[in-house]
Amino acid sequence: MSLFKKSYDQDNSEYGRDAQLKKVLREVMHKDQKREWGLILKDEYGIVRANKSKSIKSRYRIMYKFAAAAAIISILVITGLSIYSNNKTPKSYALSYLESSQVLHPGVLKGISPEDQGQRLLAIKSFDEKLYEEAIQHFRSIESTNIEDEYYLSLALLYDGHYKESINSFQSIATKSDIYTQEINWFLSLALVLNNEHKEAITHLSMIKPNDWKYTETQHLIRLLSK
Amino acid sequence: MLNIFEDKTIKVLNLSIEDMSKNFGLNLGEFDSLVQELKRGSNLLFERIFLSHFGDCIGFIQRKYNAPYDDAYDATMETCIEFRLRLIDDKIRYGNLRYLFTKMATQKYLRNLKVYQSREIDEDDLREEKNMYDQEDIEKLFLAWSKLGKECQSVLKLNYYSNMKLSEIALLIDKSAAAVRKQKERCISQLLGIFSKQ
Repeated sequence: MSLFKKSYDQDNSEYGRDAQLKKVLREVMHKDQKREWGLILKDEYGIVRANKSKSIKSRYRIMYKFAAAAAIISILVITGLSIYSNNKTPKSYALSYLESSQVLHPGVLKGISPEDQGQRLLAIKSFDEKLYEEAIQHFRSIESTNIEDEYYLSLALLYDGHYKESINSFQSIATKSDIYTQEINWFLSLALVLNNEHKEAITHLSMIKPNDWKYTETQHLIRLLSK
Repeated sequence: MLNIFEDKTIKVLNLSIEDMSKNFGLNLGEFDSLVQELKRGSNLLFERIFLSHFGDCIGFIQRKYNAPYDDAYDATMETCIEFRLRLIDDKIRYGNLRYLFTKMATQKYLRNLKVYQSREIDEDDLREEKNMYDQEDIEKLFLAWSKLGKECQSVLKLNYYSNMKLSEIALLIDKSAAAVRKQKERCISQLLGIFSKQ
């Protein structure tokens, strides 16, 4: 049982439980707020955390954990026990990434026809509210789609679990334009992983270079795929 | 007389422009609106102002302390979170917001750096027991939170994150206080249900 749930269940007072929940949820909300602001910073100001290095806090935490792990390993080796590695699969990693992330649409472009404006607005609204099934329908109802529409339709397909369709859609965009190259390399790879096309996924992940978006996550996913 | 009047006007105007510049272009009235908006759970104005200053702040910390980009980014992000909380709690007054924000961010960066360089035991490891939750709980709750409906997220956020009382939330969303209380209970039950299933 988790530390939090145990402590929460043991508290008999309503006030005490509420205070506990407030404390832990505030941390969760901070985390969510950081994620949300990170997306705004990326989309509106072009500011992205490079992700190449861990935070100062994490670096030191990792050092201590590393030291602790080394000690544990030594003990296990001495006592002749074997250690089993983390059994996280590429698929569970991809799913966990999609569950914990949200892409927000940057908004409507100028100079588009009023007929399409309505559908596009509905599509964007649904997309940003994570109503991907609705978003897919609205994106598909836009008469004259542009690359941006196609990109967000592909994402909606991916987030809604239509992996094969999202693969086809991402691949189609890649042949027409290079403005979403880095994003497509990453999301297409996730779709391929989730569709059990591991070999193709590795091919696309290999296109993500050290300075590209999601390089760190890419390396992790490649390691999982290579196991 | 006319010249003196004009001179005074210019001085007042200059002072006002200088004040606004120190406060991210906000005058006192706009600052009050920003705080009121935050208290009602809306971050829009806050985001427009503080996220537009984000890049400058990262640049400042990098230049002044030769800080790695990601560390400067993290310190600025943490400052945004704390600045928002302090504004809601009326702990920040109109004056020189730009200076205060940048100062807080640099202090955060230095504190992270110095504290974690100097000590032998990570306090976070000890904190987990004191806090009665650990990092794994946070990660699991974060996932559960992302699966919770928008309405539930909104009520819990207003109550726990914007510090609004249930009666205030009731007025804001045009429901009775009793209905909001029930809704909150349902939302918590849903959240904990998702959390337990993971």
